[in-house]
Amino acid sequence: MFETIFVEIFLALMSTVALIFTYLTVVQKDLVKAIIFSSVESASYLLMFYLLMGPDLALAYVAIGIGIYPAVAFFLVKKTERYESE
Amino acid sequence: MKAKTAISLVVIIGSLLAISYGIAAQATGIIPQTDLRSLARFYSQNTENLNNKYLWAASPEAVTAIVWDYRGFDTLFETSVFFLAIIACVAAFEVEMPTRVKSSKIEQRNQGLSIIVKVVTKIAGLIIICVSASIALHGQLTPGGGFQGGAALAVLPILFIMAMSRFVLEDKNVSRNSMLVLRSLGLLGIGTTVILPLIIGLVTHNPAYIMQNQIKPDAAISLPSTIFDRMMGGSLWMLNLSEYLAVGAGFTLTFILLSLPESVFKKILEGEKYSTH
Repeated sequence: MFETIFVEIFLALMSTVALIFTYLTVVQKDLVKAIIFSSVESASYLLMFYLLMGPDLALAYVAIGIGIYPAVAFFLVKKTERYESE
Repeated sequence: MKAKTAISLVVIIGSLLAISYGIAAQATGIIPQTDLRSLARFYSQNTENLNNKYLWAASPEAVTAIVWDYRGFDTLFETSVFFLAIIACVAAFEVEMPTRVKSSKIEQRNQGLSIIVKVVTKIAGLIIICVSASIALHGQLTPGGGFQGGAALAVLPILFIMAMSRFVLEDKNVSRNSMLVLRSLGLLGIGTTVILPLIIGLVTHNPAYIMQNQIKPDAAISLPSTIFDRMMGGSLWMLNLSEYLAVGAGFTLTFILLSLPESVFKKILEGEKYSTH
C-alpha cells in the first residue's frame, strides 16, 4: 500500500515537473535554454514510463529524448539563430 | 509585485499537483495495475510456454516477442518508413563531402573542446558501445531491442562531433559511404531473416510462412530457439542485431550530414545561380 501511494505521488510530481518545463520551453527566448528545458521534460516522462512498467519505452526514450532530439535541435539552432526575435 | 507573482506561482503549482495526483490516484485506478487484461494474459502465458510450442515465441521477453514475432509485420513496415526518411535525408543532402585540410598533430590537438572533455567523451564512448550492444543483443531476454540499442549507439557520433570535430569520425572510417554500407547490411539482414523460413521450406519441402519464427500447426519450420544452451528466440535476435546495425548507422549518417558546415551548401547555391543564367 505504501509503495502504491509513493508511486502515485511520484507520478503526480513528475507530470507537474513536465508541465512546468513545457511552459518554460514555450516562453524561453534563448533557444539553447529552451532545448535543455525540453529535454528535462523528456527526463521526467522517462521516469514516469519506468514507474508505469514500460522499461522498453523508457530505453528508447532515454536515447531519443535526451540524446538525439536535443542534438538535432542544437544543429538547427547552430545553423540559424540562437535568440528568438520579437 | 514580487509577492503577488510568488503567490500566484504557488497557487498554480499547487493546483496542478492536486489535479495530477487526482488523475493518477483516482481516475485511472491503482497505478500500476495489479491484474492483467486478457490480451496481456495471453502473451505473458504463451511467450515462453514450453508445453504449447505452436503459440510460443521462444523468448521470455514478451515485448520483443510481440514486436518482432506476434506483430512482426507492424515493425517491419515501421522500419521501412524510418529508412525511407533516412534515404530522403541522404537525397536532400546530396552534396560533395568537403575534403579535410591537412593539419599537423598540434593543430589537431587544439581543435574542438578542451582535453578534459575529449578524454571524458572517449571513456563515455566505450561505455555507450557496451551498453547499446547489451541492450540490442540481449533484446530477447531483457527489456530493450534493436531500435533502442541503435538509438543509444547513435548518441556516440553526436558526442564525438560536438567534442572534437566531424573529421575525427572520418579518420575512424565513420563516413557517409561506410555508414550507408552498414545501414544496407542491416536492412539486408532483416530482409534475409524475414524470408529465411521460406528458403528453409523450399530446401526441406515443407510449407512455411514469411517471417515465421517458431513451429506452427501447418508449417513445421522453426528457427533455432537455443544456441549453446542460451535462449536466442529464433529470429528475434537476428532481427534485433540487424535493426541495431541499421538504426545506429542510419542515425549516424543523418548526424554526419547535419554537421556539414554551411559554406558547403552556399557554394552549391551560388553554383546554381550562375549555371541558370
